[in-house]
Amino acid sequence: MSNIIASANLANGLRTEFADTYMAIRNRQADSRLAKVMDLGVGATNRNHTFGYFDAAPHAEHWPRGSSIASDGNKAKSFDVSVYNWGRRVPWHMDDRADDQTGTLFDSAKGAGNSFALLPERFFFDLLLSTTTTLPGLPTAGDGVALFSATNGDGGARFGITGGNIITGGGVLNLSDILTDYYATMARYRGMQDGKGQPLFSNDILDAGVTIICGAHLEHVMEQAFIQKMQAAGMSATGAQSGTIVAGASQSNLSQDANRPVDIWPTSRIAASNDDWFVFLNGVPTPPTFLLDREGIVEQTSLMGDQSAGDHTKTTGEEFIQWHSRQGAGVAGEPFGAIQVNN
Amino acid sequence: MADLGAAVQHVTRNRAGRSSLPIANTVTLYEGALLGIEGGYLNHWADGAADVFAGVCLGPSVGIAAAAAMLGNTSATPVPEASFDDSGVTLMHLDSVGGTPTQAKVGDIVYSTSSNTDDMSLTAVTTTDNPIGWMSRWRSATDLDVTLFTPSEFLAYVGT
Repeated sequence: MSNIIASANLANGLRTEFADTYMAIRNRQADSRLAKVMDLGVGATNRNHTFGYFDAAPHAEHWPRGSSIASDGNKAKSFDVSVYNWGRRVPWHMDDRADDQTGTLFDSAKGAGNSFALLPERFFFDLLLSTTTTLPGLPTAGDGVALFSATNGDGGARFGITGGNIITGGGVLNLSDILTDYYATMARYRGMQDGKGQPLFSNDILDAGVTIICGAHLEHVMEQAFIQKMQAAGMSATGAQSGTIVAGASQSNLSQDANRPVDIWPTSRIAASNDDWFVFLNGVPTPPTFLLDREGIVEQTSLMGDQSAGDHTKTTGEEFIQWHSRQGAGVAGEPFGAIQVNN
Repeated sequence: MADLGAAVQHVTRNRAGRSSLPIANTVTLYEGALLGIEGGYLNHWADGAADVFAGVCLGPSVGIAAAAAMLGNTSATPVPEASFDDSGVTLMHLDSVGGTPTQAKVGDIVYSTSSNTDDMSLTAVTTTDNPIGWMSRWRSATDLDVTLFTPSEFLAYVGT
């Protein structure tokens, strides 16, 4: 079933100038920004893995002369991530491949194999949006909760700050809303603690810039906020920042003046009805998510002229090409390098 | 006749889930349509009393020119035929099966009043409706799988 329907390309004299209409579109590769937010180099040797790490080590404490030294430790945590099988077969009748007047049936079908390169990006957006559109299930982070959460698995404030890595946004109506929430995320990052009472991040991490992921419908306001050099956000009569756009009241771009690199990643993978946006620190040593790669893509074909053609092909004349791989994805330890602005 | 008294060499073909039959006169079939066998010819599945559920249309077989419609013509030579999947294939990710699909209904019989998979339902419209398969996976009410009957399974179920 689901054979390629080739009828429209079988007519004699068919012109082929536009035979590559879809093949020429390079939409079957992951976005280049994915590597900033997802570690793509974690291999697997089995169908599921348990990853472990230690909490932050304790810090120094006053040792009164003449008393015994205070001691403290840190505990181990672990989390599980599964590998899943992925596959796709594209079948067609051998006559259709031979008679296809564009001569592209086979190459066109191969686009399905190229699509496996999109899997990591699809995994990532499941983790980001807490959906199971691609992944059958979502693993939790090392602290026992999802990628974004106000509390950790013990019910405490995640990363030592109220709200954890979720911020209640002020909306997306105009750029001042965006900038206010952006600086709220930076304040949240600066307020995160390492579990032992000390700030989690150093300035070199916080100043290395961020990647903002948002719905395609927010591209306009995001570029206004972070790319537009002279902003039209007005000021109130007292000079306070106002969301009202006032002609002639342009000012320079704050985030650029402050030399805060922002890479905007608008995507249709976030629905137009979803005004949430996500701020990822570029400088964290480990991206907040990772791909767990057990087995790379394997391509198999069953063509009538090949000695290796399968019995189904020899019996029915139905040829096919298929691919399979084994991959999973998870949250890398604890995702303190990612904040959701919840609108 | 009597029992065989000597070996007979049969001509056979394997059951591979692919078959071809002549298309009913003036009927146009489309790839992906649910098909029935009516009066010996391939036709749109219409759930007639004597119809046999055949499977899913795959495409033209014989007697149909390149890029031409799959139009039945019982006067032509050869009579145009269409190939169909009679393997009992599972149709995946169906989004408009009636009868309020739920996880609890996995395993329930599925009916259809036409060749359009959008007309599938877990509920028979009339008491004489014939089943064409069963719901084999439920992800949501708008994302489920239906495993179709083979013609043999259909006949065994219906008992005709």
